[in-house]
Amino acid sequence: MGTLLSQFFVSLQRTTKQPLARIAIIGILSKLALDSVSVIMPASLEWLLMPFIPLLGIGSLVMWVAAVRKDEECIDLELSDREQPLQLSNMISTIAFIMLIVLIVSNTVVSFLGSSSMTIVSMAVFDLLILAFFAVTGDVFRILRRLLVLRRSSSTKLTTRVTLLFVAAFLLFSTLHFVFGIVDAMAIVISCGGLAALWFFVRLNQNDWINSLQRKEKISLLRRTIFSLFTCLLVPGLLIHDSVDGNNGLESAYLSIGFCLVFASGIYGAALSRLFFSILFSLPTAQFIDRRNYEVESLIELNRLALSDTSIENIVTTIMFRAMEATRAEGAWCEALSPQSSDYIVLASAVLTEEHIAWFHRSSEFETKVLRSQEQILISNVEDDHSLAYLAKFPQPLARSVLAMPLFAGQKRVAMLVLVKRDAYGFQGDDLRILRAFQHNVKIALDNAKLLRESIENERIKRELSLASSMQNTMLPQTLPDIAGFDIDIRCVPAAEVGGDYYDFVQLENGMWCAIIGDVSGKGIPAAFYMAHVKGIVLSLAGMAKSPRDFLIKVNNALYGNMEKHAYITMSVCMFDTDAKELVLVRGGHCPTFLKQNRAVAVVTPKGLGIGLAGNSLFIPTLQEMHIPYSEGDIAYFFTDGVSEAKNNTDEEFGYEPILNVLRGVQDGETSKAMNETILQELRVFVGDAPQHDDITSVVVRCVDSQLQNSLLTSSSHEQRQETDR
Amino acid sequence: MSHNFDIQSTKQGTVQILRIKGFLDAHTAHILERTIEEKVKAKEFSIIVNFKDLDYISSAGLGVFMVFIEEIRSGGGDIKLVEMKPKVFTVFDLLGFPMLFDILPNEQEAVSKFQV
Repeated sequence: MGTLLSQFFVSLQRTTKQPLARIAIIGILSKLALDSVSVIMPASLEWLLMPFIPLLGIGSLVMWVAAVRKDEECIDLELSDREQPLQLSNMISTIAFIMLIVLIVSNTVVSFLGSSSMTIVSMAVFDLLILAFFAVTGDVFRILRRLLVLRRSSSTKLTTRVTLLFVAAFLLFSTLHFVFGIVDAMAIVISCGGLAALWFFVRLNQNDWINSLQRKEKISLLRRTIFSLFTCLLVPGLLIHDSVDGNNGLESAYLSIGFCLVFASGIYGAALSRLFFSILFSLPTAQFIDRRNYEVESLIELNRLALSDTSIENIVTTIMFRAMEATRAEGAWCEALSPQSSDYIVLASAVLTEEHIAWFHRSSEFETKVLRSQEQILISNVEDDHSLAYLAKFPQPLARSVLAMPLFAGQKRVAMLVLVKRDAYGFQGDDLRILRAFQHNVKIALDNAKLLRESIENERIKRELSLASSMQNTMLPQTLPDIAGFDIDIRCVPAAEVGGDYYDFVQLENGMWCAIIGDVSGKGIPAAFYMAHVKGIVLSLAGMAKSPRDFLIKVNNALYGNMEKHAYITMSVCMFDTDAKELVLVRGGHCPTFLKQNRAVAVVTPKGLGIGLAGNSLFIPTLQEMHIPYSEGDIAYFFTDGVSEAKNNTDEEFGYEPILNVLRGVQDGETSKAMNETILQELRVFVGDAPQHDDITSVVVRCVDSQLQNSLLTSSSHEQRQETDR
Repeated sequence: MSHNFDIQSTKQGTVQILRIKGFLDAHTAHILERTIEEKVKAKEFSIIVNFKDLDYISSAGLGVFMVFIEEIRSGGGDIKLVEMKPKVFTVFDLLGFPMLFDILPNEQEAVSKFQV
């Protein structure tokens, strides 16, 4: 009741915003005033008012209709299909309610007053009725539009026009016949009315928007329609009955206004009755249509989930509730499958408690027959199967029919959905079909969720790796020290994947510079981590080491037992002993060093174990330190296995020979930088477009006259390791 | 990785023989690691790894042999490596593995060494 009244006031407020509507209201009120005046006026002067009363009434009506037509707000196109019928039925009920109130009031008034003033009073009340009716006309107009032209097709306009033509003809002739008695046109009136009605009902299928309503919405709409229809038919009936004896001129004029209402409610009633029949005819199929609608909705929702939701739990829960509604199941749960039959994880459940679900798991028969099934399974009556009959015997009847569906992600069955009903034969074959229909979508949703999660994880790992890789670069020396008598060039080409190459320059206890080149076993984050670890150890121990050999022993001592068992580090250390004019070389499992002295090229491999492989008891005795005297023009080449094991597209390794060849061909005075470039160019040509799997570190050391070196320094020391070619 | 790695496991008396094949690198090392771990768990401490069909070994592949060697030796066994291709041997040699492991020409010798 409250909502209806508020609806009424909202409608009133909405339509009276139009200036035309305001004029119309003033017109109605003036007519009401004239009515009152006419009661006290002598009968001889009534003819003076006669033209004004119908003029005001009809004028107001016209104004009102014009106002409503202009009222854009009335036609609320934003309403969704779902909201329309509810809005519609609310409006219908509002009008019916107002009409009933007015009728009751008018009849009460009439019965209190004598018959002499009856027609006047009742007509005044009718005027009020018209006013109220007008108030909601804005919405009435909208409703009529909805009822008549909703879901337009190409023929809608024509149909509506034809209908309105018949109605207009009917109104015209009936007015002429009944009110003025000018034409004796009863036959035309009847045939026009009949044709209008016939045409109207032939086009019943135009109300096809009703088909898409849910069954319960249809029933609710039908109830309201019956109520409104009843009132609509009651109004003209009462009016005609009441006005039979009003026979003087004034009363006839009133009646003509009164008939406006009669006609309006008549058209309205016709539209409503059409609606009524439409709903009535569509009711038997409502259930099937509901189901179709539901399937479509479910699929849309599942698709939406597939595109947006990354949580498998959310998807599973949605699926469970959707499946429950679609099959009208009374309980459901969804469990993750585990290889152990005693173990199950309930992902989602509805109505059923943990205790219930545990009851289902009491029998291994249920597990093998239902929960392990690879396909959908329908048990119409558990009591038909002795091994499952226990399901019906829970303190209260729990499940006499069971429907189960496995859910797949990829090829993997991830969960089992079980739906139950208390009654035997509760599920139909159709239910299985529905479940099958959205099983495929479920699969897509779950697959997507899985893929999305994986790609997010991949993205995260990639980001972290690239961060590790850039952090690693900062751990390598950014500038080279000036070592008197040496021209050194270092190139480092990091692999896309984080590698473990390491090089550094440190000063030992005696102040001599050492070049260090190393490689941490393995790749990725662990290798980067160990490299950082090694750098810390190298920096802290170098200053205490008496010789390269002593240094490696200290490093091994620090690392052995402090790394994962499969991790180790290979390292070569070369001290530049400028006093003794010697290169002091130790090798802890690292690649050999190439030496070019007096035009001869040699591969130098001092004995030594990889670092972290064995304790010092084995490490120390096997570690050899080589002292190599040098003179101007001698070349030493250090590298990591990223150089020698670089592969081309046919899986051949670069090896040592191409490097040795480059060294053999070196011209006098060629700088380290030029040599290194030649080697790396050879390497690039060899590898072609094959991917790089490991860091490449390439170091050329050339002994120069220390006086000469100063001029070379500028060109050598800043040219290192900036080559990041991918 | 597109490269394949495969292990064929046989037993000769009390000696486990693992014939490894293909590429042993960072991507396949865990396969060998798991296999050796199973043997160690089963207290099978006498293990021969045959490299006859192994084409490539990387630093990560080498690391696998270090993981269990202590446990195996303290259990009275050993891992002996046999039939290495020269290229694969070079990798082991550079790292100093010959000082840590018995690297032998064939299975027979390794088996007889276990029986001593």
